[in-house]
Amino acid sequence: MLSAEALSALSLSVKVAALAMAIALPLALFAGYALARWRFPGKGLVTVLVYLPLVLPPVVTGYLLLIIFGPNGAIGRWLEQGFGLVLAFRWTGAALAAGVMAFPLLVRPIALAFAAVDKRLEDAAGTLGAKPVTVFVTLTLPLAGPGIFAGVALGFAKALGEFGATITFAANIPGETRTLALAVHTALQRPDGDVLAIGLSLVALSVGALAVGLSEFAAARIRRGRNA
Amino acid sequence: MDRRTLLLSMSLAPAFALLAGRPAAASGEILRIATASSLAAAAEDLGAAFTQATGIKTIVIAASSSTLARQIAGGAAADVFLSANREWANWLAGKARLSADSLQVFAGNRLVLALPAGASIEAAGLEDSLDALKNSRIATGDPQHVPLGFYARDALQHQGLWDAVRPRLLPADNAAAALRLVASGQVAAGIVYASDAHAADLNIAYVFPPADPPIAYVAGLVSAAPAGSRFLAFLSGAAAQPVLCRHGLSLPEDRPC
Repeated sequence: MLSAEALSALSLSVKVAALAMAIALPLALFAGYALARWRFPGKGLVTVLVYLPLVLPPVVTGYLLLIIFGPNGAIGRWLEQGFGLVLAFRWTGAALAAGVMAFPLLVRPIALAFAAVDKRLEDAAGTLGAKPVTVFVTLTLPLAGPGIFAGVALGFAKALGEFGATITFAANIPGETRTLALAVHTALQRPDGDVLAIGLSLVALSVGALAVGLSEFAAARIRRGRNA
Repeated sequence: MDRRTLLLSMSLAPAFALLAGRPAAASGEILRIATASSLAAAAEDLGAAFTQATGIKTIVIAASSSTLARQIAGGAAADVFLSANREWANWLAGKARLSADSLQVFAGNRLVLALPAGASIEAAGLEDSLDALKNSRIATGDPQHVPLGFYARDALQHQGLWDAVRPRLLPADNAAAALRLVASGQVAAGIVYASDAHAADLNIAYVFPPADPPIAYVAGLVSAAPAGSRFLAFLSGAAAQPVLCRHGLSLPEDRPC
């Protein structure tokens, strides 16, 4: 059976990753579409910013988040004073860190998927009288579906296991920000923590295997649906 | 050999020496001191004084005593271990990675409730201070493994405040990380070592009474290198005491500074 500690860490990880995805997905759809379809000034800079978390050391990303969104940060102070919203050292902050880290993995397949949608189909729908929003929702989005799904699967997995940015920005508070990855890390700091670390690692292993299995299953379903 | 080849071989020589596991220059012995993070600055100074007295170079490796104990048990290279509590030193001795006979208490410390420099609260005493800070988390060592966290838990339990404070703790990986959280103003308060609070110029809101058993820094031999035993002798000698006192640490057996 799962220990209370493992259960708390697991449910927190799922909660954090779910919130991260809920916030990141709409932004990633927008960013992916913009990068795939639009030309605008500063596109190079936006591209760099979007993919930066992929190549930065996660601890640097966490530190930058702390500087910007921390209690002494410009945006952090503004959010706290204006909206009573505190992110640093909260589970919502862990979700922000996970979302930022997962963002490039989310955007990449989505942008590729949008780029692969045949523009002529959209133009045809337009000449038949469909409004741009209708074209996007009923044509572009479904055609880009597999790519979007791949991005979400990848991003969710990344958010579930994020470590460096999370511990730096949201710290390691039991029940609040101690996700599965942080719980394993903590167990590994304890001289007597091996049993706990192995138990937690097995949980992470099962969750990971389950996630990959589910996404493969869903991808197969999508392929079959298209060929039918 | 032309000039470019010469420069290249000169610049690569230290790298090859490192790869071969040898120091670049013929500098002789090196003593590796694995130390509790709260002792890092003091250990640097003690190492420098030791080098001056003996010619033996020192390297300080600082982390939580728990982390170090784990790393040493796993085979990490160290000659002496300076632990912030007896527990992790004893644990390592139990694994036969530390000489139990060599264990000695060489310094002590106190706990304080500290606020960032320049911050203040309108409260006296621990309970009132914690009440005045009720919207903030309290940084300290992770009570699951960091000695500072153990001491903080014991001290709060002693005053019947543990259950109230526990959910508000911000557990850090080591004492230095807890100190940083307070010193940088990320949290409004922390339970940290008095020596660290003084060194970081924090505002001290409350000084905990001496713990029972007292906060004890324990030194022990990890390797059989003769430099290790020389360092332990140095640590309990007259030359080390002013260094310990300068870093705000107390001497064992209540000896005055």
